[in-house]
Amino acid sequence: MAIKFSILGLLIYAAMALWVLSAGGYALRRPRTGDWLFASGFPVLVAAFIMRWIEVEHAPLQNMFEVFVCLGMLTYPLWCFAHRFLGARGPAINVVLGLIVLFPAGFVFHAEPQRLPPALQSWLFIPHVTSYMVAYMILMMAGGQAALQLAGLGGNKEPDRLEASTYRLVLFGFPLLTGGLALGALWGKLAWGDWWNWDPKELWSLTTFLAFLGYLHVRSQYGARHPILTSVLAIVGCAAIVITLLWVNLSRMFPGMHSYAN
Amino acid sequence: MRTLALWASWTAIAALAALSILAAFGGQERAKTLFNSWPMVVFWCLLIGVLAGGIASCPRQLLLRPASLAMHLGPILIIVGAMLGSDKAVHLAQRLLDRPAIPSGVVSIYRGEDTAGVYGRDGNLIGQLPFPLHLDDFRIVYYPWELWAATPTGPRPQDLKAEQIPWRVGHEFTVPFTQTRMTVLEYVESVRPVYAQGAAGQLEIRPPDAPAIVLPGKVGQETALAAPAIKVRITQVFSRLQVAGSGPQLHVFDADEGPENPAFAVEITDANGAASTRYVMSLAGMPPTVVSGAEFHYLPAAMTGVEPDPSTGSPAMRVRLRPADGNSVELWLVVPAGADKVALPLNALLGPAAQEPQEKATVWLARGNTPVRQYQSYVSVLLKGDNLAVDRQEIEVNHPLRYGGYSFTQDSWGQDGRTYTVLGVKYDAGLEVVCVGFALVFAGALWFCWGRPVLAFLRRRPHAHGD
Repeated sequence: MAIKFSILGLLIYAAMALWVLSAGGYALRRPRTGDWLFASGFPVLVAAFIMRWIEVEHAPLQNMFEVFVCLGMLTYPLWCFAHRFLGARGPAINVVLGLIVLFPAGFVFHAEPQRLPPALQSWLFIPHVTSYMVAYMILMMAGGQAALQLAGLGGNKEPDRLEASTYRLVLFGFPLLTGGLALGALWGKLAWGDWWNWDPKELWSLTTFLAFLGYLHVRSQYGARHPILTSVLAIVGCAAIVITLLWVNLSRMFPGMHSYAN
Repeated sequence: MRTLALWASWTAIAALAALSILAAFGGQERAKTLFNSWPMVVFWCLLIGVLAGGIASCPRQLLLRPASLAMHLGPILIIVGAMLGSDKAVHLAQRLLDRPAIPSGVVSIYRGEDTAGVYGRDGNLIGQLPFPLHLDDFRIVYYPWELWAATPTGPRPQDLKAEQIPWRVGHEFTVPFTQTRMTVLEYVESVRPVYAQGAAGQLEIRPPDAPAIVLPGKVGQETALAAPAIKVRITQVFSRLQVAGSGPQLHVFDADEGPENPAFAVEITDANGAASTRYVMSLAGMPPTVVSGAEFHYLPAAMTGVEPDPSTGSPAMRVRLRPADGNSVELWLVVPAGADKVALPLNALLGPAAQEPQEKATVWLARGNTPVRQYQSYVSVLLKGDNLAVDRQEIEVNHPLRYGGYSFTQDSWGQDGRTYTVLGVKYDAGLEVVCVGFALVFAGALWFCWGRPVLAFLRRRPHAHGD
């Protein structure tokens, strides 16, 4: 762990401080304060993202640091969308999600700028990674809703609403997950000669896809009649996302062709 | 039947997920072997059956829900396409339908030569392509190297403060930690040094406790040392020393192309008459050759300029230095062959013009952490038995060549006296089926997850204008 004494690092820490205060606002039952502080972190992270883009002269989605800054930046706008259009509840849990995502960017991952290697010199770089980043955040929010529902938080009607919002979030994120997988297959064909190479990253991405496919399959067959089962499936899918995004990239247990993301 | 199909589908999803997790722990090669094994062929066929059974169990509902139909049909096509393109299927087609094809492998082609042989990753010949490939040229496109300034902050060599200098040609800037202004006048990404006509390196011999001796770099030049008591004679002069083989098969030779690697072969005869050959190289960072305490160094010839040479990968930068109090100096920063940086100590260069702040500052031209932007192989496809090129294409990473049912991707490259490129080869059987399958799955997911809910929402909205 190390503190980043750069403007980029300070912007990340500023966003984290705002979100810690936001979480405090929600905890103290001051939702308006919480909302404003949550919102104010977004422009700070946009500035950090743009600054990084200018510094590295390509879309900053290459390594773990850049990906997690991107995920942090996406937290607030995706929460707004999910709350407004998909019925998502519990902003506090999404603030905590944003903090969890920013922490390794701020204190763990190396921020040394890197140039794009030949394998990443492709028009598919931005759509493939972006598709997955948006999908992961939305599906993690779905997991958050499922966790709230399993924890029994909220009133009598909340469990149904939370179950419904989980379903809508998974519905929104699943095509993005599918698109990321399809674009990855296309990119693999162009870069490595084969659309599927049995790389650990690919296998865990497939596992994540199958987890949410299983969720949708059960949900479309039984509706909302088995909320505990579907919530558990959503959380299992989130666990697969965490493994795909973190463990596969960081562990020496899974060397593979996606190692440039380390 | 519907219940059976449901349970079969959930079992199949869980089984595939579990196998994927298991295979991920085993690594890429083991995963490939597992999923292409005969038991897995049975699994894939069962999975196709489950998906087809899902369609068959509720055909009317699926016909009314094209998204669901697409999401069941798509994976069937993906699996069928993958099986058609597998090594087993290609070999089977070869035997049953007399359709010769090589499922996958690599092709290694030297610059200026052609070949049709496809090899496995283990180096064994797999087969011959139906058309030869000719490597017209191979190039590496490099990122510009980085400029850094460093100044010592303490007595130890590692006590340094460094700062990267953003540069571009024609732009003047102040060198950090100094008052010297610097302008990059020219940058050439891959060069070789040019020397005056007849100029050559020199062999410098530094005996312990005696003045150094310098020999002209020519074959036959010799001298004798008193301490140690040895005779030294230059037996060979290299421009591009390269080494092949090992042990008894070790072979040292002067290559026709490739990066500059000037060197001398030196015969050293001791007081007993025993002779041995040692090599003295100019590569930056190489320790000197030492014999009985005497150090042997390669002194490079004075350089007069640079010439572009794509094979070296070593750049050069022409700069102008303008100290705060003194005349401007123009010079070339040339990276030696094989080196990853070159230093420009300002005080040594500017002499009396060096002011106190830059007395110890050094400017470095250094390779970045990702030096290569792209690898480019210029390949011609030839008619078999003819030198006529029917197709010519530049292959880069992410830009493969597709011809005759095969895809050729930029895999790697190398040099063993001559430059060669290595292309990955893949027979594209079933690829179109896979593409249609992915398109169906994606379109189905889009319509199921986004299209239908949006349509349902729009239908539920109250009509406007009193309809």
